[in-house]
Amino acid sequence: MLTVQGLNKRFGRKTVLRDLSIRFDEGVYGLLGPNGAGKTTLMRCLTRLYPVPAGAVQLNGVSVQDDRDYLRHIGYLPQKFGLFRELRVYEMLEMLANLKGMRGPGVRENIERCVAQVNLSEHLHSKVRTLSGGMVRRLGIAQALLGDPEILIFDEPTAGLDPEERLRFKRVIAEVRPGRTVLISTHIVSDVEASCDTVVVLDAGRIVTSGPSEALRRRAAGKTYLVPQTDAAGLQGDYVVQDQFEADGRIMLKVLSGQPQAFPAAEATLEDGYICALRGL
Amino acid sequence: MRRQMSLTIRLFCKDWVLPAFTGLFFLYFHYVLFDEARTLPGDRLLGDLAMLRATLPLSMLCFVFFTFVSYYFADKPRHDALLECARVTRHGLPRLYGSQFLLLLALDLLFTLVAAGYNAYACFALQIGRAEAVLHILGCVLLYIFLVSLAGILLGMAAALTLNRFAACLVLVLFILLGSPLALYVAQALYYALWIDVFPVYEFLCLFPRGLESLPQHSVGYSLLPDRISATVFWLALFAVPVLWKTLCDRRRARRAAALACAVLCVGSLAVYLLPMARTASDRSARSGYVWDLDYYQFAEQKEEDGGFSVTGYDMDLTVGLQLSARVTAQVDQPALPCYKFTLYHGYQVSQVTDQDGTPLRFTQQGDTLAVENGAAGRVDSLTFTYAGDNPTYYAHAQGINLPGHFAYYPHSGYHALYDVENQSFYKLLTEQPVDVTLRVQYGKTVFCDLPQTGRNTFAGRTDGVTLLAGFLTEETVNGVQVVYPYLDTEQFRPEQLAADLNGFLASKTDGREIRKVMILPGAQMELHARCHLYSDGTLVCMQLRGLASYYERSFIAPQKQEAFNLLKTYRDDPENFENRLAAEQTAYQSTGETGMAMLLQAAVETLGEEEALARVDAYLADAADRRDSREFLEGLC
Repeated sequence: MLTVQGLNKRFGRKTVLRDLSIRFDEGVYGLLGPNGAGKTTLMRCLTRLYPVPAGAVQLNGVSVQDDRDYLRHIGYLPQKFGLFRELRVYEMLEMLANLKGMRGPGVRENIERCVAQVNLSEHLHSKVRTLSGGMVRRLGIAQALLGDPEILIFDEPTAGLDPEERLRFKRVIAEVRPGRTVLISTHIVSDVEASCDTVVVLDAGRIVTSGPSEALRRRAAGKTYLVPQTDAAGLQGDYVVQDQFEADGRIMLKVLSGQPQAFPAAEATLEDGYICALRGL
Repeated sequence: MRRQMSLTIRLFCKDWVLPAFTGLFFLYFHYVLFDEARTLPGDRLLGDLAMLRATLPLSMLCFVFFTFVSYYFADKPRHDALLECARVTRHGLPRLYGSQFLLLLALDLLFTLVAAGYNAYACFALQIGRAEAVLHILGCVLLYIFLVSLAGILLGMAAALTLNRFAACLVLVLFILLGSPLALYVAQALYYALWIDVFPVYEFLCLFPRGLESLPQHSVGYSLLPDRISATVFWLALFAVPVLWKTLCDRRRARRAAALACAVLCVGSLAVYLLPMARTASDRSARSGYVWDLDYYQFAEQKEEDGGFSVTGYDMDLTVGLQLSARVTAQVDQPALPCYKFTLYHGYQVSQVTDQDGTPLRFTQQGDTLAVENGAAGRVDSLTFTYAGDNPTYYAHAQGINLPGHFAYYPHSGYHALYDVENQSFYKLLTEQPVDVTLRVQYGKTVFCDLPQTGRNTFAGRTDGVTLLAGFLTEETVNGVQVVYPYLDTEQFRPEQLAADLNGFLASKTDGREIRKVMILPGAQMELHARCHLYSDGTLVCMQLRGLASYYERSFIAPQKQEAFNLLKTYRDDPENFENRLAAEQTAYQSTGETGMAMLLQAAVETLGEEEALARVDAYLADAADRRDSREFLEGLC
């Protein structure tokens, strides 16, 4: 169990995380939030890339700053991830396994298993430079799995991936999640919807809401309306235009509003719930 | 770690830039040394230091190479966006960068072994049998190739770990330039144009061997003195700090301990560097080396004043460590003077003067003058001076001693001008009469002295000037004459050459003066008349044996008479040249109205007749009491 208690993080005068407290049990957590919300900062604090006050982050009751073996429990895929392009896939993973302190005959087996989990077995002896962007990303997941860590932290793992790769990523998450705590930060809501048990919405360094994705979706229930663009003047109070599309030759707006509106309701999506949470609707 | 090393080597080899540049540089390195090795003994002027002389310029190239290779290699994890991943592992950064460092260190060792190997071969081929010389050569390779390259490795890694690309390249290029000859030119320009002295900064920043533009000093080799070693250690420790700090970011205790150790090393080595210590002029920038005395004496007042007494004997205890420390007792023949005036080179700071009873006396040291007030007892039989210091040209340090008897490294009675600014060399200062001297030198190496030896580095005898030499020197007896010479200078001092030159000189000598010992001084800026001197004890101290006859003849002519001597020699030995000079002066006279020296001599010859005129010139040159300068004499002759 990974707990964060009253975590504050500042860079100069700018406060990036404000009194953040949350508990991560077994399961898949999606960290949603706009750019600058503090998602990456939180992940870097959890991985000790940034120093944190003693006790602010604990693993099973032990402060991560005091736990020499803490990083053994962590598998991390950073936002900007790359590899030594001159090496082969196996060599690269072997190097990372060595850096993780893995040793002995089980290393080879572990590498092959991790590569198999991300469906890159046939590229095990290919040069890294021959891999596509999506394959490199999957390789990133494979290196995070090395050593069978209990906690996986993926920072924007699907950024820049095509839909097929993103689908593959979701399958991988489904495969690796048993018995693990998986944290995925993203601003692509659909990735969270498919993979995550719990969605944590961050904004300006604070947790806006945290709970099952269904609960977040229901937050937008009764607040979502379809409004013809030509009738938009009839909207009352505060509202947010969530989407715009064409239907039956008319431009339709999908609007989120905390106030009742005299327009037909639309089915709320997780994204709608996310926007409602951010805007406090 | 073994597995990590294997992977790091594989990474190094697979990045085409690294092995390509390493291979090319290694080939070039090997080529330079091989080219010298196959032509051994090579340039004769370089003597037995030819191979070392070919090796040392590679020091800067090694530094540049290792700095950029190290930077490129250490920047790869960041450049390839692998750094964050590596940091979130248990052993990440220490193993990653540790293995890189070890690989580069191994390369450094490889280059060093190649250089050491070639130099060892040269020692064998040139039959350098002396352990001290071999150790010196290998020590130079260790300092200027291995340690300087190691500094480059650490600098490159430090830049990669702490700075962005632009800043890193800027810092690397700047540091290389600051230690390069370009920086020396800038320092010289700043000094001579604006009188801003940045030479100490340059000397501290420049890790590379100096004095490579001139012939090596065979008697001391290249500098392995504490200042060079401490400067290098300082930069090594300083560059190591950010490397250790960044790579041990997860191990706070180890990080703090490592940083503390490096900081202590930095402070310690800086403290050593700042200690007053002697250095060879060739290892200094010109400003603090050969030009040091010229700069000083151009503006310093030099006095000439009779002290009213004579020194009748010296008892000297000298210690040579970082610099010369001396305790010299001078017996004086006038016990009741109110003040005793002495001359001592200003680079030696006197800390105490006592009388024969050990009573401290008041003294004033100003420039080269030292005035000692007579004590309350009113009687002074002897004065004991305690002092320490150095001179860049006439040095005394761990690698060697070069203290000729004509240099005021011990007090002389009266005030005397020490330096000839016009000719940029020291005057010869000797005691008026030979005096008894006993001398003990605390020094690790063998000291050679013109006085007879009475024990290890202990000497006693009678002379008008005490010469001390030490370093890569040896002593041999040739034709009954003891010769002390730098054995690494095989251009001049191969046994057969030495015997030929010495015997040739002795055969040409017709003045009947006895020469029982010849001591070869290391090269220094000396005017022709000062390049040899025959001391009262029969020791001839000179810079070389070749052409010694000419210098010997000149050495008995006072400086102000040298011009007349040259003119006479030209008239007698090279009449065509004399005629050319005369014609030139006559042409110049028509425009300037100035009478040249050759014109004066010609006029004297025409007036007095050649035989009479030349005889008068000979008499003038030989007459020590006649202190007129050459022009004054020739004008009077007409």
